[in-house]
Amino acid sequence: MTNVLTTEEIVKLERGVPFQVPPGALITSAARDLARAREIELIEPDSGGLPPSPSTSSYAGLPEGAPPPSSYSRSTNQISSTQPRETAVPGGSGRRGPTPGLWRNLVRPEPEATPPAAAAPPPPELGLSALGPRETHLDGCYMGGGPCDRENMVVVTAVGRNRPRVLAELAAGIAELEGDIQEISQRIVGSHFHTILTVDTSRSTGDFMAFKQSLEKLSRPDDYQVHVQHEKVFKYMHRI
Amino acid sequence: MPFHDREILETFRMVDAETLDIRTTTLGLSLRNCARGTVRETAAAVRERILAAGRDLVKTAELVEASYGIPVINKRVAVTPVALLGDSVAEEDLTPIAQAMDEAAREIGVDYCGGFSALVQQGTTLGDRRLIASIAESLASTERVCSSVNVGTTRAGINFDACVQMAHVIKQTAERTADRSGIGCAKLVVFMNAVEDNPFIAGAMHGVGLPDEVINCGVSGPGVVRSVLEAVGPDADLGALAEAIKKTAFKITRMGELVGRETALRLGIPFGVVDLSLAPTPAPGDSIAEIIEGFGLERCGAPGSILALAILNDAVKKGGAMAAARVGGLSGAFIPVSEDMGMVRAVADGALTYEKLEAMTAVCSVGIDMVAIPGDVSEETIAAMLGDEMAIGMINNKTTAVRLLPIPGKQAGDSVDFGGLLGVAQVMPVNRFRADGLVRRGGQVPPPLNALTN
Repeated sequence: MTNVLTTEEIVKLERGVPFQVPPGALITSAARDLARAREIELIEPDSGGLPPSPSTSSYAGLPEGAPPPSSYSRSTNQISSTQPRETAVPGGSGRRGPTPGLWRNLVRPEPEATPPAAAAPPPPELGLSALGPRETHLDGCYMGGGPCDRENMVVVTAVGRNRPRVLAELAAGIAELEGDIQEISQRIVGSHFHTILTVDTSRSTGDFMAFKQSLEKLSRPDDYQVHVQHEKVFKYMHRI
Repeated sequence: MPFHDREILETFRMVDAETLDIRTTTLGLSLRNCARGTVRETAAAVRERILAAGRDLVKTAELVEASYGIPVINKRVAVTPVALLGDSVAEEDLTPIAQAMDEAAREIGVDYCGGFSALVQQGTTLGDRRLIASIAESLASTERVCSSVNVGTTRAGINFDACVQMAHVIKQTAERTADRSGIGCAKLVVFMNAVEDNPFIAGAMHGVGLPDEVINCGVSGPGVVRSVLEAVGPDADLGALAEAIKKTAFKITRMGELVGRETALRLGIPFGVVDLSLAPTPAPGDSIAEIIEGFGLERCGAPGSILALAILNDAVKKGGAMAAARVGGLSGAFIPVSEDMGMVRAVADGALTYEKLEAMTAVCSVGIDMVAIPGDVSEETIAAMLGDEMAIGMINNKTTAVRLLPIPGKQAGDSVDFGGLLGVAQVMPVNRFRADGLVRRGGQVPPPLNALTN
């Protein structure tokens, strides 16, 4: 009896019908993608979802009413870890990445959707700290693997054909995303330019990927290309 | 911390124009809790283990790739040498375990799963013998499984009986995949001094001294090194070249360190090592042969090639060792022939012969890699070729490996296109004089004097 949900199991389910994931079962990334494509909502025991409707398919290989398969024992595989991995990655893979609709096309969120700046400190998942878990044992190591005060710094680079308003467009785009420009450098070589901006994104309400995707949408094949990268890339490569 | 424009644009140039990338992020996975009484149960446990531990590997690696703008070309899994699971099962054929690995690899979206392996430097156990007997069928019936067998170490000497056996397996594997030009052999390596934490396919495995799970990272970047040689110019002396390569290797390796460490953090898995190997691909400019030619040689394989390769290999290690907290794996310059268009051209032009390649392996990190030979070369000759390469590794206290491709029905001078990363194999002629008498002797080669280091 398996306790890992794979695409094999998802294929057997009826399209569009929610599926109650048995407690302890693990779901592969590919299975999640397939379920999404087939519009099958995966109701996980801890997700607070509704119980499955009576027509919901049963877990593959399990008769109706049978006890759920036992949880895959992490302890047998991760002797050194005292926590299951699910706690190390908040929300699991399903909750990573940009929030659907948020920052799409650089539209400022509706005022009512944005919490007042002074109302409360930003929730912990804001800014680039939402990228993933941090482990204290790496803090302060020489290669900058842990959190630091520049954790939310990104480098925005635009390269392309020069024309008026390029810098204004970039700055407006960054402002829409609540980025705070720390440094600007621009050079014109012949008919081309390159602009490098260091931006503090700690006040952005989306995560890094949302910021990156939104800003890189300013790129046009015949105009200029925008790249957004963590400052850490340059720190690793050019500083000891 | 302000960065100079030059530094930022240099990083972009490396990625965009010089194909800097991370060759592989490899999840090492212990299967030591998967041994069961039957091969079917063991295969099911292996499948479940890979699915459970590797389910987020590809997505996480892609997220890191997007965050830092450094392409991560391959995501792979390496498992405990499967021979260790083969002793306890009731059946002889371990192919179902390979098939379970293949199925799980496909499910989680990794391109290869290494570790259908055995370590037999001083003799074989029942599990080792079962695994070796199952290799040909396993490689023929799977797409993503890679197999390796370690037949010697400097401390143990060479198990020449195993070399002879592996020569048979290589021929058998080529024949079983004859309809696909013997591609099975591209997934089969014979090792001397195999390393436990190698993230590169086809020799990746998760050694018995490693933790439950680990993320190892392999860097790439021949294109970047080639550009540096061009920038240094034809008048710089060899010391200046070595210095320029060293600095570049540092930068390349830092990217491996960053990407590997970040991937491991997000997966909640310990980070292991960065493998410093400069790995070529068939892509234009991504070639070790072109770096060697950049030293001032007309073709790779010309006199001076070994000197150039030795300087390159040493400079890469010096730069890389400073850039990573822990360096491991094979760490050096790979010279796979079919995967490097510069090497393919050198073979086609007659500049690079098998014997020269063999000599080059004394100073590079790996060995005879992705070398196509005529399909009718005898098992005895292949066994002797394995023995030669193993001896180079044993005496020089280094890893050497052999990944020979006897192409069924092909003769020297023919070529075979495997496609993708495996590239184009140019069939190389093999010395026609025989070594049958030596091969018939078999036995265990005693360890050399330099093994006595305690």
